[in-house]
Amino acid sequence: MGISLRHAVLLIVPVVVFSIIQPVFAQESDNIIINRVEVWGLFYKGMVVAFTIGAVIMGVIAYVVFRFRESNPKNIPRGPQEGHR
Amino acid sequence: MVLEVKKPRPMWEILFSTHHTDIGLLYIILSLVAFMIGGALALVIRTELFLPGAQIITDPNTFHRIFTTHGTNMLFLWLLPFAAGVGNYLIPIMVKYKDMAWPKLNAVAFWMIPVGMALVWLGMADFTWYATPPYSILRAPGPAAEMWIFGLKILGLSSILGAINFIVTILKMKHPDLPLMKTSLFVWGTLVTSIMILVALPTFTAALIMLFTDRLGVSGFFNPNMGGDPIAYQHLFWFTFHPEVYIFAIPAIGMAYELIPRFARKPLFSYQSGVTAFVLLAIVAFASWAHHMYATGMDFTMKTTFMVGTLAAVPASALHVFNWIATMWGGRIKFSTPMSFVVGGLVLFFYAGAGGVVNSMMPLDFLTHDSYWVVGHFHLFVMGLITFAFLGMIHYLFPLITGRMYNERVGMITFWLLFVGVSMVFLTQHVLGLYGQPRRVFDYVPVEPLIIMNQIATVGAMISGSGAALFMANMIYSAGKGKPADMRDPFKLGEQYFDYTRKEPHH
Amino acid sequence: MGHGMIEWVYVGVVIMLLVYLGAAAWDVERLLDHPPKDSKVVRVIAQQWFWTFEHEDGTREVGELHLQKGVPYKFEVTARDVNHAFNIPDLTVLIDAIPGRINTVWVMPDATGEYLIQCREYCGFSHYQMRAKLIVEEGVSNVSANIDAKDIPVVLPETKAAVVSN
Repeated sequence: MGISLRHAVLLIVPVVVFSIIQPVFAQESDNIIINRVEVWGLFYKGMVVAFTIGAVIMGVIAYVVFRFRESNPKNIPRGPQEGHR
Repeated sequence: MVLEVKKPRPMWEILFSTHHTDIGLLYIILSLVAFMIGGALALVIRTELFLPGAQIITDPNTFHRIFTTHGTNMLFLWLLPFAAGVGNYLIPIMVKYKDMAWPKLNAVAFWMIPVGMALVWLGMADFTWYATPPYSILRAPGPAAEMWIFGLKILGLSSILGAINFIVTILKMKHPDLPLMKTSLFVWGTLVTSIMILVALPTFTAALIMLFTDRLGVSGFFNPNMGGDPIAYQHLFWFTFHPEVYIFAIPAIGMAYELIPRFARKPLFSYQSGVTAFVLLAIVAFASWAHHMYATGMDFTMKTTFMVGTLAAVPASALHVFNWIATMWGGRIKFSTPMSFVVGGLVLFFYAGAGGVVNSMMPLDFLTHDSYWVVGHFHLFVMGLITFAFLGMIHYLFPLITGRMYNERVGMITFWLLFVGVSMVFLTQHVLGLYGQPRRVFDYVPVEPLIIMNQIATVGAMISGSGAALFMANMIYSAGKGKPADMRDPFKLGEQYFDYTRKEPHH
Repeated sequence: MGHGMIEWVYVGVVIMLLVYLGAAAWDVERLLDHPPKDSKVVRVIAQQWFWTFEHEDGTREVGELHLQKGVPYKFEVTARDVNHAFNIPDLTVLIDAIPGRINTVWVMPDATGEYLIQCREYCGFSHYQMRAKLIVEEGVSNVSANIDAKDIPVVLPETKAAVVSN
């Protein structure tokens, strides 16, 4: 049978999920949490993701706008142009 | 051309016309007027909030009426009619039919809007554009409240009639040789939006009637004193108005699909992706309404369900963003005013969406709910993506409608003023919300961070306002005295997509 | 042209990030959803345009709320007339106050001081200034005064009871 992708996923998913929801089990042992610490912690996590994706997308847009603008010397049309007609 | 340069048409001919180009123009003019008035109201609000304490408005009641009317006006008298106007103008041309399916109904739907407009503006209700009970039933003063209710009823009806007209025109009246999968994405956007209107609006129609009878005292749907449930209203309201925000956005996305391939001089990256994204968004839009109600005391399972439903809409938007960037990649992009607006709108679209993902993460609602974060978030959508796409489109259609060109340099100045101004106001308001400033407040705690951020927002609003004023000046002046446009290729793109020389039969 | 692999990868990445954020949010919400068993109940009553607080022992406070540091509190929030929302921004407490309904939210104040309580749902004329003051004091049970060795509780092995041997 051998180890295939399915087996790897079957193994990895519970491990990942388990590690993410670890603090839930802390609740059952009556560890009192500080609300604002948890909430702001989650907020910072969201901010990291948002700013990382943001940097990537803004970077791509900036590149596209700069590189493919009409006035870019690399963009001078050469040869016969095929019109859309 | 609707406004002919050499032989101006008599005003009554346009007003009484049932032709789609004339009605489209009427919608556009009405919506632009509403845009300016709504903007003026916004400037009053921002001036008042420049400093703590009362500035130009002396009593909170007036302030409440102003922001209620600002919101109601911008959503129902600017965003929806403008989209209907552009749709009216272009859809019959795009499906190669002579007019909308029912031209007289089209005119009726349009003329209902000034009536609704008058009711909303003359009433100036004070219960926020949500009109949430019990306040709207027990405390909000009439006749403002009743006028708002009737005004919205009429506007809702107008929307529904317009939606029916669009659906029938696109599906039944399109040219027999034109398959649906070969129509432009603007057509798809309009079709999807119209179907969503038919599905979403009836719920709010019912809620409005229930609100009215509750006010009269003959029913107690939402009145806790009569055993009613105020939260039921919120479900009815948001079941309509969450899809409604996509109804606002999808026409703008359709317009972006018109402008980006043209100005990038490159074919659209993936037509199928666009259609898929529209249909997906339309369906998933109905699965997320109660994310507006996380704070009402919902149970955990329900909150989770709606968080999943909300996040499920993000990939569809991500598809659109990918499509646009991939279309621009490798093109030869001319950044005239229409394209600049659309790409600026794309940038703001991302920030709006990112903030939205943060909102949907349930516990973060403790931070953001009913704070200025939300104000910043939704304005990045409506004033960012949607208004920018609309303004880009109106600049693009200007030569088609008037036969003249607007002033390009002024157009670009307009774009930069608005882009800088809008970013200043609404990105700052996200931080303001994190500091805890609630929405809909006449005044705020006089601490330095709040004061400084409010001032930055006000300055940004002034910059945006000057951009908007310049835009109107450009439009009005150029419509009368602008240089006649080269009708074959007004933007000198080198390729011809629109037959600008086509003459419209007027009847 | 067409879909291409890159678009699928892009959508896959977007979905994975959303799942990650959604799971993290679900996780924190689970924690916040259950008040600790020994929470003290405080009834919060909102009305146009002030706040009333009722403690377990019957004490009523208007416009001010005194809580103890380190003690978990469960707020039972309701309203008398229209919708309001109970919000303590510094402690990230936020829940709607709906007439005819009791909503619950809990918090354990972890630092002494004065905090702002404000209304977070438009409720009419004075909504913008519908505020109260939260004062968190050192808990009586947390104050370590002069402790004699004989006052320190001892757990009896037989009954497992904790007694202070005088």
